[in-house]
Formats: sequence, structure tokens, C-alpha cells
Amino acid sequence: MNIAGSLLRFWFEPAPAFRLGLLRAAIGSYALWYVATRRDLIASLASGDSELFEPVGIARLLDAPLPPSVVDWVVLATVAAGIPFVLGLFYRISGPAFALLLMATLCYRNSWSMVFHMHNALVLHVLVLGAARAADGFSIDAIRRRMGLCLRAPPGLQEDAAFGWPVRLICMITALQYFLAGVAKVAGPQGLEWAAGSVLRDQVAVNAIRSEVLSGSTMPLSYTLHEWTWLYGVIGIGTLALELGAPVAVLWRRSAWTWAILTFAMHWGIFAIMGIKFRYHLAGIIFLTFFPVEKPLGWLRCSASTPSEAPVRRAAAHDRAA
Amino acid sequence: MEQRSTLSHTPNRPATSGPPVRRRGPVLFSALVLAAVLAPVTQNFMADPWDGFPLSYFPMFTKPRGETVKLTHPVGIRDDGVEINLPGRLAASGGMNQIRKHIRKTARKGNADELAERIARRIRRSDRPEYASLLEVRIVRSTFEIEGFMGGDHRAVRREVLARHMLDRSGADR
Repeated sequence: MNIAGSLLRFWFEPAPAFRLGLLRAAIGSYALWYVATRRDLIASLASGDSELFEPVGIARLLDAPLPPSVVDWVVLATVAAGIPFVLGLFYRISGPAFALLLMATLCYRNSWSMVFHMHNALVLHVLVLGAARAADGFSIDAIRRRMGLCLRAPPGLQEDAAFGWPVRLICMITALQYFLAGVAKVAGPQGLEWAAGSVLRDQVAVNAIRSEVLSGSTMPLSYTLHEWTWLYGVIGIGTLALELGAPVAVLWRRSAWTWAILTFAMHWGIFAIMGIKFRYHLAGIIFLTFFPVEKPLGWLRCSASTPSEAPVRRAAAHDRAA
Repeated sequence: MEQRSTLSHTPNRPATSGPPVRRRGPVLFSALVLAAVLAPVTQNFMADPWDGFPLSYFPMFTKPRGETVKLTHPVGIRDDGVEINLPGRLAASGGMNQIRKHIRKTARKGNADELAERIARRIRRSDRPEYASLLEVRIVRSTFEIEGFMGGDHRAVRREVLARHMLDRSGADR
């Protein structure tokens, strides 16, 4: 078997431009919303104690914190670039611009006190989208190129490898990040014992104590489940299976769907027990790339056929039946 | 259930499009991105691992926990002598864990006094009734026993006062 050939076929499986366009709009909308609603928070961090500045990512190029006004302008520029990114407008410029500005903004946001792990995937996903032809379908650019067409006859339903590999890459980035989280658990001091139950139970308890003391409340399930070590064992084994198995699970369509749904459920479980909001994950947006997201719009188009189109469709169906 | 491998050839569709030269760029880009994503795995085997963004080795929930947990946090002393936990958001912005790390790092750098003073200023400006009877703000390092806390006893088993700041409602704090 030619492994390289199989890998290339896998990587370059054609996909519709419309799918990549929808993913750009969904992921870009989330990123845009996040940055726009965190402007005050980032401004507050940027004007904080400079001794707490510990740059990460591209912020490591800085020797010292930027003036707060400059940070605010970067945030505003990110929002400004995000709008055409989401719309698919002037994408050759807005795509890479938003990707780089988002990375700069979130690197800076994570350079104060704590590295958040909830948006690593988002930054990388937007980088891939920004580098890809993600506005050939479902975008203003596509509509401008094909004047007169709109959502009812979406441009970009044709399939091409150029629209497939970015989706593959985004899926694999997601899977590898979960894999890394799994490796960190078993490579840590507890090794495979991490999945035994008591380790995870204690992690949940520590989170509950911190939350109770610092915010005056914690998720009631933290207390309720504390004695149920066996349940944490089940959750621990399931978590490790999902994380370490991610790169293999995403190789097949149905196992990728199953993995995405179970991992989505895992994040809701984490939220229910620990109150940790991985918003990109809880909203399911991180998992959209595993699904043919353009299909529901296709069904909508069919069900919303105009009277003039309906007889044609019925006739075609009759011909096929005959 | 039918399991169609996406690694296998699909005869009804063109598996690739365009001449091979069009694929060189995407292959190189993909390989670089995936290698970069995987690179932080080496941090697991370093003596002093370093976490980054957006490339991380995702060390969350891996730190071993003992029977107790230490936490640096602000508390207030009311005029009846009762001590209450003050919300972390008085000390910093962000989510709970970011606030926690902010307080801990500030105290470690020897700036707990300034932090207590900042919290006192915010309390003085606040019109929340629960702060009306506060006399003093303290930054403390508490040790909680995990089983006891989860069983309902939220008292610290040990407490070290790192900074204290008297609230003066009439004017400047002390």
C-alpha cells in the first residue's frame, strides 16, 4: 500500500467551498464576539502591575508591556479586521490580517498572570482559515464575483481539494491538542493513576475550594459527587480515552463524529461539575469542522423551494422514480 | 454500521484536484503547523517545563494534590470581629483562576500591602451593604483541608496574614 498516497488522498479529500465559508463565518463570529466583549478586560489587564507581565507567544517579542492606549488600538483593529473576515469581504487582506491580529491580541491577553487554555485552538483555527481560500463560498467576495446569486443558489457548492485540506488541518489541530492534554496527564507524576478517580476528584475539590473562597460560590455537583470516587474513575478513564484516542478517532468520518459529540459532552460535564466555561467548546463551534455543516442549509433550500421551482423538482423526482 | 475510512480511496470522486505542484504549499504549511502544535509535548519531560500560547502542552489538572490546599486571598474584618471572605474581583479582573494567580503573584513579589490598599479603596467607593461594616482588609494565605472543606467545614486550618489595611470611612485609609 502506498502510505504517502493514502495520506495525500486523505488530506486532500475534496470539500465544498461553501463548507469552508460557513466554518469561517462561525469560527470568525465567535472570535470577533470574544475580542469585542473583552475590550474592557484587556484594557484593565494592560494597565495593571507591569511586574505581572509574563509574555507568551508573539508577545515575547516585547521587553515590557505596551502602553494601554496601543493595546486598545490593537484590540479595535482586531475587531475591525474581524468584521470583513466574518463576512468574507476583501478576504485576501482581511483573512490574514484578522488571523494575525487575533493571535497578537490573545497572546497579549494571556501574558498577564495566567495562560488560558481555552483559546489555543481558536487562534490556530483562525490562522488556518486566514491562510486558506475560506471566502470562495458563502461570502460577500463570492457574491461579488457571481453577481445576482445569493444564498438560494449558493456559490461554492463545487468540491475541491483546496477547500478540503484546511478543514482536515483544523480537525487535526483540535485532535492533537486533546492528545497533548492526555499525554500531559499520563506523563505527569501520577501517570496512568490519573484515571483512578481519586486524582480527578481532588482536582475538582481544589477547584471548588478556590471558587468558594474567591467568588463565594461553586458548582453544587462538586460537593454532591465528592464521595463518588468510582464515578470520577469512570470520568477519568473516559477523559483519557477521548484525549489520547483523538488523533486516531478523527481519521474516520463516523468515529470523528462520535468523538466530537462525546468530547462536546465532556466539556458540558466539566462545566456542570467545575463551572469551567470553555465557551468555544461549550458552544460546539470547535467541533463544527468534523461535520458537513453545509448540509442543513441545503435541506433548508430544498424545503424553501419557490412555487416555480417545485414542479421542476417534482418532475425530476417522477422521472427518477420512473 | 458502515465505517467509511477517509484514508481509503473513494472511486466515485476525484481524490485530488489540480496538479501536484498545487499541493506542495498546503502540505508544507500543514506539516509546519502540526509539528508546531506537537512540539510542546517535550515540556512534559523537562525539569522546568514552560507553558505557552497558542502552543501549549496543556498541563491543566496534572499537578499532584495533597490533603490540603493553600490559597492567597483577601478577607475583611467586620466591626463585630467576624471575618468574611472578600470576592477576588476586588483584587483583579478576569476569571477566578486568573484572579487567584494574580493575587498569589502579587503577594509573592512583596506587594500584598499595595493590594490590600487597592481593595480597601474599592470597598470605600462601593455602596454594597455587606461592606458597610468592614473595618479592615487583610491579604492572607490560608491552608484548607480538602476533605473537611468538601464536608462543609470551610474554615482554614492555618492562616498567615501577609498584609492588613484599616478602612477609614471618613477619608484616607490607613
